[in-house]
Amino acid sequence: MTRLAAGNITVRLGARAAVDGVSAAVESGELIGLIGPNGAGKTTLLRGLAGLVAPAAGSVTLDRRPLAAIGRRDRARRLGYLPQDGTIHWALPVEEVVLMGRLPHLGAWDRAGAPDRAIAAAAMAALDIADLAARPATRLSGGEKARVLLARALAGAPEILLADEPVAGLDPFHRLEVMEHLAGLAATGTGVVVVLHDLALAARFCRRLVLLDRGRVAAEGAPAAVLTQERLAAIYRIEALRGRHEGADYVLPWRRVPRG
Amino acid sequence: MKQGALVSLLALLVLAGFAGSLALGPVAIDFGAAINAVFGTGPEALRLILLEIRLPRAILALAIGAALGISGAALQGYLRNPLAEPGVVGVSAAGALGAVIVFYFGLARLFPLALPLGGLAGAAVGVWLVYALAGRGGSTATLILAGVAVNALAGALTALALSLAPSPYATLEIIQWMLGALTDRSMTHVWLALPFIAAGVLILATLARGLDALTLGEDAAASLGVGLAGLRLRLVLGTALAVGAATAVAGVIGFVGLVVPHLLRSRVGYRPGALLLASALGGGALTLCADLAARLILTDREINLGVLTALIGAPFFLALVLQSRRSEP
Repeated sequence: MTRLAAGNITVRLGARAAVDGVSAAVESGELIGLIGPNGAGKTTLLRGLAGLVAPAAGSVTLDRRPLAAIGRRDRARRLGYLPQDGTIHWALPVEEVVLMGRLPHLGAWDRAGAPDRAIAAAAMAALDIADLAARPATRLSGGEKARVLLARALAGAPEILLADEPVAGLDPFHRLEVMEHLAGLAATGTGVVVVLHDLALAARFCRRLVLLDRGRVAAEGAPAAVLTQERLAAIYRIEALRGRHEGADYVLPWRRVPRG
Repeated sequence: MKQGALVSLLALLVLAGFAGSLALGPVAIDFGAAINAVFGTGPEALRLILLEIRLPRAILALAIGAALGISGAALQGYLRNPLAEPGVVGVSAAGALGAVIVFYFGLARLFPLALPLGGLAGAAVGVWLVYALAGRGGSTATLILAGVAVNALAGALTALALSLAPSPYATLEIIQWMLGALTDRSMTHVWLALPFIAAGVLILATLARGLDALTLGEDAAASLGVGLAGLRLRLVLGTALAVGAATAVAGVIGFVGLVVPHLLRSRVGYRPGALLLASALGGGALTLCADLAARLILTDREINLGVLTALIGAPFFLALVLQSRRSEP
């Protein structure tokens, strides 16, 4: 059982506290949705959990050890991070991009070997992109690129995966596909934190939601308990249709709520 | 092409260029005579030409070409921009300024290592300025503006040194040297530059994995275990050592670091890490060939090597700028 926890962390971007005294944790097998309006601090919190930005106060721990005390490579093997900006800068073949997920597992001068290639191939097969293996990574559609980058993260076989808006820019089919994969990962024991703007997906797939507002946790818990009409109005300034379908809660943003 | 085959081919090109550089020149030397001359049974004049004139020149062409090639590849990988190059972004000009300052104050006469150290310090300031102005995956426009700024600053200070130079002879010497050439370099120059260049090239060669990971951006690279601060430090140090020392003994030789990685990128499967070694070899081969051409094109005098590489490289650069303008929105 692996547990990644932020204990009362404050992360400053310049003078502003983008994350202000937040505690949150994820364990093996959980799929947690990190939600909140633009600028609420979701990406900063995720970067803090990934150890990419050091908190000004509080600490992030992996199995009770401070992240800062864990070696870079060890941390890279255990925590996967999928950034929001999915730019791939050179026209590498897709397979090479996916293989980069194996970097933390290679010795300083090793090249990826047959077992690494097999793991990368399995990740590509799981995301239905095996036929893209030789395609230049700069010539992918948005949906293909999102799946390639997710496959890259999966190839690292992390214990905890932190994914920042992995469904941004995808059509409904591919949104559902990516979310089903993340749910599948959680079902097989990986802990997953996913930043989402799509409240319908968040309510449908995440067992637990953390709602951020202006750098603080506004609510945390089961989707139905977090996404109340009052909170949606106060924090997102929207009104939503809500209900249950096939045993799951759904939320459908319907109209804006005027200020005040 | 497989990586191994490409590297072997480039190494062969380097060998051919090196042999050509020893054999060809105003005095033609055939292979047998060369062997005899080197091992002491041939005429003394031939031995002098080979060991005192052509050998240092060939070694410098190879080392400087390798330095420029690998620095270009490393800068491009780090800044994630195919237009980054020591000459274009002003690192060479800053290195030249460092060396000009050493010339100007006559420090090289007091202390021979002052020349490469001056070049190194100048190049380090140049790389650091470019990073400060255009780092973190900046756009092509930002990078070129940074290059313009650094080149302009280094050029202005170099021009100041020229206009205040103590004698017309000193002015001429500085200008000749700024045009970039390997004429009349001796083994002393080799010993001054080679250790720094070798150290720089070795440091840059350690960047391969980090540069590969940077293909996915800084956050993704950091999450894959790449230490970005260390990577940046090694980039600045390696480039400053390699380009600074190269510029200190040969002046500004531009565009090698632009042309070579561009020609080789697709052949290493676009992996920035794999491009490092290939560009070092390719840079060595290209500079050896360019230096040969500089000697042989005109029969009565030499063209400056830096002038020749600029004549080839500048149109190439123009074409790349047009291409990148078309691909950017």
